[in-house]
Amino acid sequence: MKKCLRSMIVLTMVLLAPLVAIAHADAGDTTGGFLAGFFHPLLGWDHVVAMVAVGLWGAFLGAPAIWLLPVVFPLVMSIGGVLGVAGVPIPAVETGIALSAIVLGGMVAAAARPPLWVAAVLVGLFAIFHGHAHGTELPASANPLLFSLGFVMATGLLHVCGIAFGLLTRWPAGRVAVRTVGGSITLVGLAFLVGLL
Amino acid sequence: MNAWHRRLVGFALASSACGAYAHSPVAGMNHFYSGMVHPVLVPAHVIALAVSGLWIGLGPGDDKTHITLLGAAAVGLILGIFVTLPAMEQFVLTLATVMAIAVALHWAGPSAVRLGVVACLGVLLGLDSTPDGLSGSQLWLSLAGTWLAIALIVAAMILLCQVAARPWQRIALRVIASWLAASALVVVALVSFKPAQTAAPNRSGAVMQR
Repeated sequence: MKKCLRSMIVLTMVLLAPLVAIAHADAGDTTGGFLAGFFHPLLGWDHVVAMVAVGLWGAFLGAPAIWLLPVVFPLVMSIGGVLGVAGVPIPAVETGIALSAIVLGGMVAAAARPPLWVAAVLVGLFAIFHGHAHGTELPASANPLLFSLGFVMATGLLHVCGIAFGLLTRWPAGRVAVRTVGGSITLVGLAFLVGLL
Repeated sequence: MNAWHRRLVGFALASSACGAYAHSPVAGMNHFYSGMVHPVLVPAHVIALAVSGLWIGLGPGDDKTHITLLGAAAVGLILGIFVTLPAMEQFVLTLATVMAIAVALHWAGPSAVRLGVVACLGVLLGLDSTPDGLSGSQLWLSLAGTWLAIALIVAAMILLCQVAARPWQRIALRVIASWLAASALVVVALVSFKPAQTAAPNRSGAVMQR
């Protein structure tokens, strides 16, 4: 304990030692484009809950779904993004996004274990809606590559959050908690669908 | 010297840091550092180099691919002195997308395909990195710096792949590659379908509309 305390004191002093810390992010193209893209999915709760649901469901299904779904989603999402950028209309995008939360949350709540290809197709289908929404909203002023990198990374990190929470399924109480969260995601999706949120 | 004294010395060293100056003390060497910084300042190049490092590092482990990439980059840098081609960044991103998808899908490909792809990427990176407005020793210093930066970035990614020996770490790298592929693909589409909306720095650093 003494050793640990000494180490903590030294570490704290070392961290306080730097003379200059510049904390302001450059508001220009570089960090501005990346940050704008990074926060884009985070500022829409319909996106957030659906991304977390993908991670939860992947953790629930176990390997290889636990990493396959977070690989499939960004790749197919980018195709949706391409369609959005190209101006190809997809009907009822916002409805599709709301449905993604309902269906994916429902899968977790019901502890559904379909074949891997079914899960991948379902996730991919909804990824197109999310990607289309990001692609059409790609702002002209930001650095598009950094914006794109930002929203893809944010999406991936939301998956990781879902996976991390989903790992609780190894315990019986954890399974209940994860399925409860899945049910909550379904309710949030319903709220978006009917216009409550 | 006991552990406590070592910590105190470490703290003293950490506290002694003041300004870090990036200007070279050697006259005329600034262009070398400018060349070194160039690949890091162009997001498309960073993505391409990161992905190529992942593809080489997670692949069968032959040195030919790595050497081919570096050799092609050198050729591209020299060719760029005489040749100016438009839309290089778009081609770099397209190749980066293909390689990133290959990494995500854990596809190494035949040796001939690997060598061909990295050679193309190396030449394109070199062509897109040759600076305008420099000549003589300044130009060659800048090219040397850029080539060294390319070599270091790729080597760092290959080293990362070697350090990431556990299965979950390798999967994490493939997931990251899928993110890079997704990002690059959207931008390739943007450049293809809406070129007026994309602004890219030309090789001398000024922003120009495509």
